[in-house]
Amino acid sequence: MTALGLNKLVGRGCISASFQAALMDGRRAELIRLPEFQLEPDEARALLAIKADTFADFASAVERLVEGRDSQAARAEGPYLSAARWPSTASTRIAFRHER
Amino acid sequence: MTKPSLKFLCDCMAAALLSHYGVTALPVPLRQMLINPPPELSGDLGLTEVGFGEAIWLRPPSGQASIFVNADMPECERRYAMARAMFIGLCASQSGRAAGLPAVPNDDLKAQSDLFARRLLMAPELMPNGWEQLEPQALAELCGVPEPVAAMAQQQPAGRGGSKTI
Repeated sequence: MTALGLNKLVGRGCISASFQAALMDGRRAELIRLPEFQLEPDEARALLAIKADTFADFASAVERLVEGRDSQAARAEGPYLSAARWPSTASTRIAFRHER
Repeated sequence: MTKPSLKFLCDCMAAALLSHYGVTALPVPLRQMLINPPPELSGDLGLTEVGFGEAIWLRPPSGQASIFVNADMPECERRYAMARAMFIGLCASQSGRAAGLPAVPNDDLKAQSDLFARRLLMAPELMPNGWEQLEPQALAELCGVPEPVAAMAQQQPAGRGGSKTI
């Protein structure tokens, strides 16, 4: 999953004053369902929950949303702990680094 | 009012422009974007070819803004200069100002417009796998940008065109 849909949504507001106004004037739920953005349900929910007085505030909140998701994804791909079974009957926990 | 970072806004505008024009492959059709700008930017963007200078965005007293570009420049340099000038037009537009784009002119305009030009002409979603390992000259030809611009993009962290805070 990438942030491309969220970027497109904010970008559309940057190049269209009417889209920007509609996002801020109660038509957000309708606009985020447009197929061109291909937003996941959790992304749509997060966008609907944003409270912003201005479009810049809204864009800033979306940026934080993207950053938060990127750091979550980085943690998920990073070093993690996993139980390993050794030849003996004892088990231990070993750190693995995911190879990319 | 909180402001989004310029890098985020550049990525967003690039994504929206590529989507608007249905661009799925390099090079980005910048000339087409300027000749036929998105409808609500038609008063802020346009293209006028001249025989002097490089590229500059101007809004004459008529109110119809345009990018005046030297048609005699080499293609890759002309494209890059037009993209930088396009950024200034976007900053001056009603929607751009409301989105938190920097006021123009300002002291960091060169770095800001460089960032936008790279993120548009070398949009991450259009770059082929392994582009970081290409020869700068090959990458420059692929994207239609000057070779130093391609080389700089390859030196930036994560191949995303840099995260310098401006």
